[in-house]
Parts: sequence; C-alpha cells; structure tokens
Amino acid sequence: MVAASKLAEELEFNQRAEIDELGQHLESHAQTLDQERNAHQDSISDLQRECKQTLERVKAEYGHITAAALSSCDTLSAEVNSLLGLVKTFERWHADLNVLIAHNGQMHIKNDEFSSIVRQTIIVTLNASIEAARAGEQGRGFAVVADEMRVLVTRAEKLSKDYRNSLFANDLITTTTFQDLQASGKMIIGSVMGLDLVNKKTKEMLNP
Amino acid sequence: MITNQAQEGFEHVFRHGLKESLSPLADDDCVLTVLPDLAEAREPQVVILTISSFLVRLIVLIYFTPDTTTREYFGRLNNKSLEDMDTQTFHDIISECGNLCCGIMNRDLLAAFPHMGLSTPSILHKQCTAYLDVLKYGHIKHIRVDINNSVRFHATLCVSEHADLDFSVDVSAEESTGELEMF
Repeated sequence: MVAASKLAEELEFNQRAEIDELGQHLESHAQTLDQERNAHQDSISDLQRECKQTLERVKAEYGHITAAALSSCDTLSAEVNSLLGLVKTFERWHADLNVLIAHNGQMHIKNDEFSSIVRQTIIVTLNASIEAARAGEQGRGFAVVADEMRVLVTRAEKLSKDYRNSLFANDLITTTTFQDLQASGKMIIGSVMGLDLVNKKTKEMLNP
Repeated sequence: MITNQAQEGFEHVFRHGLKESLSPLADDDCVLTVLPDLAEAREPQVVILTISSFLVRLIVLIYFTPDTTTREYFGRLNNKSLEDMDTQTFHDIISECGNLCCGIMNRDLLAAFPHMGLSTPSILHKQCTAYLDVLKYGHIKHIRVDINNSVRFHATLCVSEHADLDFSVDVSAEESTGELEMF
C-alpha cells in the first residue's frame, strides 16, 4: 500500500517535472514566435512604407505624364484645327480651276472665230484666182498673189485646227490635274479628321 | 502594274457605280456592255470626275447626249417635267449622277483603299477625251449603258497607278443598299 503510494507520488513528481519542462519549452517557443512576428511586422511595415512611397512616386509621375499627354493632345488638336484650314486652300484651287476653264472657253471661242475668218479667206482667195483667170494675161500677177494667199491661208487653217485640238487637250489636262488636287485634298482632310478623332478619344481616356 | 484581279475589281465597282447611279429604278432595264474602244460613241458631252488615293487615281467619264429622250429620262427620275429640265438643271443632275457613281465606287473600294478623296464633277466637250493618253493610265475600261432600249450612255474608267496594285473586291457588297453620304 505504502509502496503504491510512493510510486504514485514519484510518478506525479516526474509528470510535473515533465509538464514544467514542456511549459518552459512552450514559453521559449512563444517568445521566439513573438520575436519572429515582431520582425515580420517590422518587415511588413517597411514594405508598406516602401509601397506607399513607390505608389506616391508613380502617382506623381502619372500626373506629370498625363499632364504632358493632355498638353500634347491640346497641341495636336490645335494643329489639326489649323490643318483643317486647308479646306480654304482647296476651295481656292477649285475657284482657280473654274477661272482657267472659263479662260480656255474664251480661247475656244476666239479660235472658232479665227477659224471662221480663215474659211472665209479661203473662199476669197478662190474667188481672186477665178477673177485673175478671167483677166487673162493681165491677171497673171494677181493669180500668183492669190495662189500665195491660198497657201498661207491653208497653213493658217491647219494651225487653227491644231490649236483647237491643243485647247481640247488642255481642257482635259487642266481638269484632271485640278480634280486630282481637289480629290487628294479631300483625302488629306479625311485623314486629318481621322487623326483628330483618335486624338479626342485619347484625351477622353486620359481625362475621363 | 495592275493585276488581273485588281482590274476585275475596278471593273466590278465601275459597273456597280454606273448601274446604281444611271439606272436606280429596279423596273428599268439596264444593260451594261464592255467595249474595246469608244469608236461607236456619239455623245457630244462628258461629265468627268476623279477619285484619288495615295497610290492610285481613278478618272471616271460618263458621256451623254443632252437630247429630249435623255432629259425626259432624268426628268422622270427626278420628278421634273421636260420644261423644268433646262441646260443648267440637266447638267446639275448628270453631275450628281457622276457624284453618286463615284461615291458608290469609293465605298466599294474602301477595304482596298481606306484613304480616298472625290473631286467635284466637271462637264467637258467629248473631243477632250481624244487625249486620254496624256493621263498615262495603266488600265482603261469602256462600257456602254443602255436603259430601256431608249437612253444610251458610254462610260470610261481610267486608272493611273503609282505602285503595283493587287486587291480583290467583295462582290456581295453590291447587294448593300446603305445610304451614301455625298459631298
């Protein structure tokens, strides 16, 4: 009975000693964990501070970049508006074309009149030749003059026809050249307006 | 150089533009015939327009006769009597036809040439077109347009290229009936 009681005491003693030892281990471990936690918290705080600083720096840089981009958009917008003034230039070219075409028209009229005079002159030279022939020997000199006149007027007729053809070619060249300028001008204006649209969308994205 | 595929594309859009602008009513019988040259054309006047892009210039010519039959035809299309179809009105209407034709061609060619500009129309004497060679074109196409066996036009497309051209046209685009914004 006594032996059993002593054994129980001894067992209790041993268990308490073990519990104390475990408690000490636990306390030691808890202290280590606390130290690690504190170290991690310090590290997290450092990281947070660093992140905050970086974020502020990025925000500041973004602000600068956005301001610069918006300023560039405004400059581009002003340039685009200025370029759209090209419409006036194209209108001026169109007006010039109309003046040129009208001028060509006047030259057609004058050449037609010249051609009419030439035709009349041919008839006159023929009549002169006939009259010279009627005059016989006395009209021989006059016949030579009439023949020369007919040669000259025939050359004038050919020249008038060539000139007429040149005027028609000129009409075509002038018209197609100016139309090309006009159409290309509209193409450029279209491209510039497309650029303006992209610029406005960029501005909206930067400054919603 | 303009490839065969590109030439076919130009012809397709040209035919489409001519058909829609000169004969817009479905009830009218419109026949387009490709010709080797315009020796048969007797029309004294021509409306001329230009479509320009960076690398290509298209010149569209529509030959017409300002006679009673033609004026009556356009009068019917525009709800105008023959008396209302004086020379200026007739020229305005035929010029608008040219505008419409080029607008349709521009739309059909948009995929191949995103940047194109159209000129305003001019009316010239047909004799001017004897000098088309000066345009140094790389491709030319002549088409006769007969409407209801009574009204006849001829038309020419001159293509001057500044680079090799090769593209294909979506033939189904002809089915589209979207509104065109004219200038």
